[in-house]
Amino acid sequence: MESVQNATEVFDQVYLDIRAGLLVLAASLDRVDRSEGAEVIGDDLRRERIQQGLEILSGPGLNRAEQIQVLFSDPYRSGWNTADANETSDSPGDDA
Amino acid sequence: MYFFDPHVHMISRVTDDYERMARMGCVGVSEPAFWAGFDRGSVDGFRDYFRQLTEFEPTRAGWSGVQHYAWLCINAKEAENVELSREVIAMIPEFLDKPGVLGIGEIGLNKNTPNECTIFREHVELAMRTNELILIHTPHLDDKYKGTRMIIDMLLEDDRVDPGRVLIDHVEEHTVGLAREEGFWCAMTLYPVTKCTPSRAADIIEMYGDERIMVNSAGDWGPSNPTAVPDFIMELRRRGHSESKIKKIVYDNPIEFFSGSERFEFTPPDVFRENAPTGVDAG
Ligand SMILES: [Zn+2]
Repeated sequence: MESVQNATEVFDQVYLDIRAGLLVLAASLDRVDRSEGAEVIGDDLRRERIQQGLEILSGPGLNRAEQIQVLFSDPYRSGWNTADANETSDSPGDDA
Repeated sequence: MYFFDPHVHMISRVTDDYERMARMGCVGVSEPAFWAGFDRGSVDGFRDYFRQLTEFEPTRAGWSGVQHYAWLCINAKEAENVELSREVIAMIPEFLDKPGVLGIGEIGLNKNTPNECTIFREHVELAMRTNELILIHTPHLDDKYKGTRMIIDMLLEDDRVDPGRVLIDHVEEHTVGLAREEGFWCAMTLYPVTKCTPSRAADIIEMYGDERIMVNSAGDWGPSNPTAVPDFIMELRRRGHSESKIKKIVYDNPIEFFSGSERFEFTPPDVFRENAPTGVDAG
């Protein structure tokens, strides 16, 4: 079930949404930065992730949404449920 | 267009919501057991809840001509209480011969803890022993990717599990591929805040196809929209997709999956309308 519209049709449809989305991002970041104590947010890991998310947006690719999802995901350790995994871990499947 | 909402917590909604859904074309809903907003204190609390899901909700849905189905379990949040969870799992078979019960769900993980894993596996064991379908809740936000992978790992531990009889719910861009690679059914939840939008769900359909996938509103007592499936239908129409392709996702696919339960008795709309019951006063 691929897209039945061409890129121009799709872009015409989403252009204003993208523009509005960028404004929400810009205004939200401005609001953080003009608030008292804005400098501590620079050390907040969540702010760093948002910066990485913005880099994903400006990069190439057909799966930017998936990349953003992975960026905001807890790490997973494969084999967590096998006999050699640490069964006593408080957080099974953690990458730590 | 007729549609099914395969995951909606109607117990939290008013009768007018059934009416509005029906007016938009809803002919059937399936309602998984979930968290009530507080932890229940005893197995009897769950017994009463299951009675409501299997007795009164089908009646209430019927007033609007909607066919109602249910799934039973103790949800992942309350699974932290392992003792109570085991009592509930032992009680579930009392309800497994009730009409309209489709299987065990929504089981899964919430914070990906060891207790949640223990109770998840015990629910799967029950489903295998009783040959029931399974409906799975995956965590939201940062926990989702890891939780979905852990759930799939646990399902693959048990070679009795047939992926064609398991629906993994709340999939998004980073988890839809995981579920489909292993042959599971999956569903996308359209939620006004924090979850998938109709537009992103449509994107996922365009990228991953329309096999073994469905959409739901997961309407509940939080901010949610029980008419989200029609929003998704409109989004696909705006994009120029054919009515038959849309119908496959919102009607044919849920029916195909639910047909794996021998208690899924569904009267298609044309026949159903003629026999529609009249409303009853709540008093
Ligand atoms: Zn739910």
